[in-house]
Amino acid sequence: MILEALLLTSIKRLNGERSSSAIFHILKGKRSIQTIQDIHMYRLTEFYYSAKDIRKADFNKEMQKLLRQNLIKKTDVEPKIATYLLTELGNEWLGKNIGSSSIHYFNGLTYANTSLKFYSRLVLLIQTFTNTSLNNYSFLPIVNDPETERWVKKIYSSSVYQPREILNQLYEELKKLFLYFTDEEAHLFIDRLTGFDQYGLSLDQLANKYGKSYLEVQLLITAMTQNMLQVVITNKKRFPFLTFIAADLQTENTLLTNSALITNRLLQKGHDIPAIAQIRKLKYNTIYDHIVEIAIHDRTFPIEKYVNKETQQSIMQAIQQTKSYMLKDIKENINHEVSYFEIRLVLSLIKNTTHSGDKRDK
Amino acid sequence: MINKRILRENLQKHFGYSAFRTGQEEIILDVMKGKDVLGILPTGSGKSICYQLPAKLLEGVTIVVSPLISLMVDQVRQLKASHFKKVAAINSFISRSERNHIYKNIHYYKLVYVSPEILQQDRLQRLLKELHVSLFVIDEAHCISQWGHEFRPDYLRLASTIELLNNPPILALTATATLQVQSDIVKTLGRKEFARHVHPMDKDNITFSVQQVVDENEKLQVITPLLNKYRVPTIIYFSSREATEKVSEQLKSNTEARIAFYHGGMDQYDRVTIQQQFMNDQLDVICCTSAFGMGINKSNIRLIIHFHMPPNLESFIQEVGRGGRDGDTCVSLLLSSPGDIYIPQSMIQGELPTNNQIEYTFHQLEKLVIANQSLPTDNIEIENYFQLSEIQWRFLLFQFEKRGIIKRRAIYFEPVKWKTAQEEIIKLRNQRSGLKEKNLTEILRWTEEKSCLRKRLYSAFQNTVKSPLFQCCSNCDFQWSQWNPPQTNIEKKGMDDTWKTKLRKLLLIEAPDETI
Ligand SMILES: Nc1ncnc2c1ncn2[C@@H]1O[C@H](COP(=O)(O)OP(=O)(O)O)[C@@H](O)[C@H]1O
Ligand SMILES: [Mg+2]
Ligand SMILES: [Zn+2]
Repeated sequence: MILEALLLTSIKRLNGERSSSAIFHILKGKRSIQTIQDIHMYRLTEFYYSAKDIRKADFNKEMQKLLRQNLIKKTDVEPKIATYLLTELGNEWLGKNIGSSSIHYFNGLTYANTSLKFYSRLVLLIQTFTNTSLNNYSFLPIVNDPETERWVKKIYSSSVYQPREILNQLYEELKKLFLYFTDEEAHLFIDRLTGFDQYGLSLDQLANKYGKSYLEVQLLITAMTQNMLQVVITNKKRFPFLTFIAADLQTENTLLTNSALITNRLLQKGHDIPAIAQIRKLKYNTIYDHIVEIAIHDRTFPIEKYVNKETQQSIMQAIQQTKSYMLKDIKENINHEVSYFEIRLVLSLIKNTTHSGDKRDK
Repeated sequence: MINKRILRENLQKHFGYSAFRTGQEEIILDVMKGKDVLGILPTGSGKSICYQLPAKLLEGVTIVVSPLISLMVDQVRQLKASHFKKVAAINSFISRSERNHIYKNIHYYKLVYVSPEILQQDRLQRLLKELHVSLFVIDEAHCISQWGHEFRPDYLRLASTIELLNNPPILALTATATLQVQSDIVKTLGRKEFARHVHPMDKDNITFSVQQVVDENEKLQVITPLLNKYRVPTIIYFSSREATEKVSEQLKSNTEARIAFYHGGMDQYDRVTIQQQFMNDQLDVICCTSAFGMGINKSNIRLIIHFHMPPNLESFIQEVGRGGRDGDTCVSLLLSSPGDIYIPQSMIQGELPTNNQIEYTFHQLEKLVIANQSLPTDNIEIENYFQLSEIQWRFLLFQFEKRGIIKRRAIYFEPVKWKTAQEEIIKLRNQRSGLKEKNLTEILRWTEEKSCLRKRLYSAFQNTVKSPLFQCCSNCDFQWSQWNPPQTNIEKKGMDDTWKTKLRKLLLIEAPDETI
């Protein structure tokens, strides 16, 4: 169901204006201006990079299935490119099922990368500490990622944490965390975890056990992990240990210059630009620089506050047309009421999405 | 001076084993004396210890050339898990940053696994040249032989690499013992005298059974009741990934057994998961390609079924050798149907370039010469340009380099030389495919054997065959009704637990008082 809901929602929001491969690229997290523009324009940022392993053939099969079930229909605006709209039945289906479909867990643009790391750490931590607390030191790590292995090893050897304490703490926090999910989801997630003398289930086994497809299981675990991270980060006090696991995965903000950092704090306290300029006795332009800097580093930065949707869209279009990131080129191709500040903010959006995409290759 | 007592103490200390297994001690003693050694021991007999223990004891670093990346990764992880920390694996699959990390710390390691392809890299060669290499190991050394399983040109370049590393002592290990392979190994490595330790490979606790059926459907009908009757650790081998998935589905719906498939195309996490579940008796049956099992050392595998036959008897012996390592009974069942030969046959044909392809490649090379160009830099471009698969191109490239037709990316044109080269390469190609065909016919003949399967199977490799411990084979005495191996106990634990209880048990938290 999560898969259908994901596809139908995307189709609905794209409103027949983009081809089905645009959806495919969004789910796969393609790093192209077109895709980045699409997710911002059509409010699909949360689904970005939600199914990184999906194969084109499987994707097409799913689309065919929706067609057969009469949930979507082809538009005939441009015969060469397949674009789709929801049918009435499709709308009805979505209305009935979207609430229970778990797609609201997705938070792809913000958490896709970090949640992968977070998941690896959690899994390996549990395997390591359940085994070592029972004095079993020769087990095969389930996660084969040197960076994660080094991280767990560091925690393990820094005898600050006793294995039993860590397990207890994890238990307390995970118990609370799973309350944010349905019972079935909690079961499924826990079934995949590996402990002492008990290896977790493979995706295929989970699919069998829960009567879902392989792809759905994958999506669900991805969505759950992204949501977990979101919950943990917004409730740091309730989840101190999980926050610790996630902490250095979110380091980007500390890259800010000192001055920008101060501006950032003021922004978060609710001051606007004129107020900050006054408080700090700085020129507007300097504050603009800070804000652009913050936007580049913080993927959750609420850019809408400073550039409205239509302006964002026209800037994106200018970028497309000029095929250029040069401020001057863009400015020349756009309504002159649009400011450099606005252009730079939109550019920061592109940069930081592609930038965060780059990092996952490592 | 190294003596047996010291070796045994160190075996205990570093690996926790109280005694050597057959063959290990003799090989290690010779290695420690600095001799060049050829060790031929059956699969699962513990060949790795033959270099892992010396690596611990010798000064400097031990280099191990290993053909399969998954095997390499498994070994390194197992070593690390058992406290041999100064070990690394370098192959094309580790990330650049990981590789840099290893290169920077290369002095730290006592044992370095490499793929033959990576070993040809300049940067690694330069680094290794500066080290003191105390032992150079070639694991699965049959790959050296032109007549080995897979054609890996870089194996044939090992001799010059060894020279570059100041001629350290060599240890070549394999489970494949034909005289042809042995002499190939010795010849290719270019050393005069090898201390040879060859041990018989027949397993007296394995019972061989071959059953002729009409088609795959009947194969399923044979296997299904067996899985229902015997709940024992079982491996079923297939020749394709798709088949492992398809048949495991079918068996799942018709039996009670806990079944999963395994092949090289699966996600890493799931591969480890499935493998470890099997090790841990959480699974009864693995439907897999030959990718499964190399790194596996489960001791109580009782049933090995070949749904498809392997391409030669050696692979068959290797795969069957994974059964019954604890010395207890194990049955091998090979299911044979009339069409079975076509898959391996087409695989053999696909691995080598056809005569037409060879001619076309020469033609395309000439075109590059005329246009005054060198080779495309990218492998995909190359494969497109010559219309070759990767493995076909590797085969040809080696031949071209060997004959001075290609050096680095440059092409050296000499009409007369090229003409003979083309003839020679075509001849070689025909020889090789002929040999593979012959191997295939050999295993096919074996499945049609009327007298003792055991004797016939091993007679190509050794003179004497031990008498069987249990039933011998389906031509002598084997009957399923007489086979009663111990069954796996399954505790149905935690079936109706709430997720909270599951989580609690997973994290080893004591049950709170009130729920008792
Ligand atoms: N002396 C020994 N005593 C007990 N177990 C051993 C000994 N030597 C090796 N083993 C075990 O035998 C298994 C197979 O070893 P491996 O080196 O992978 O075999 P091979 O390479 O010959 O197929 C491993 O689990 C290894 O730990
Ligand atoms: Mg081995
Ligand atoms: Zn017999």
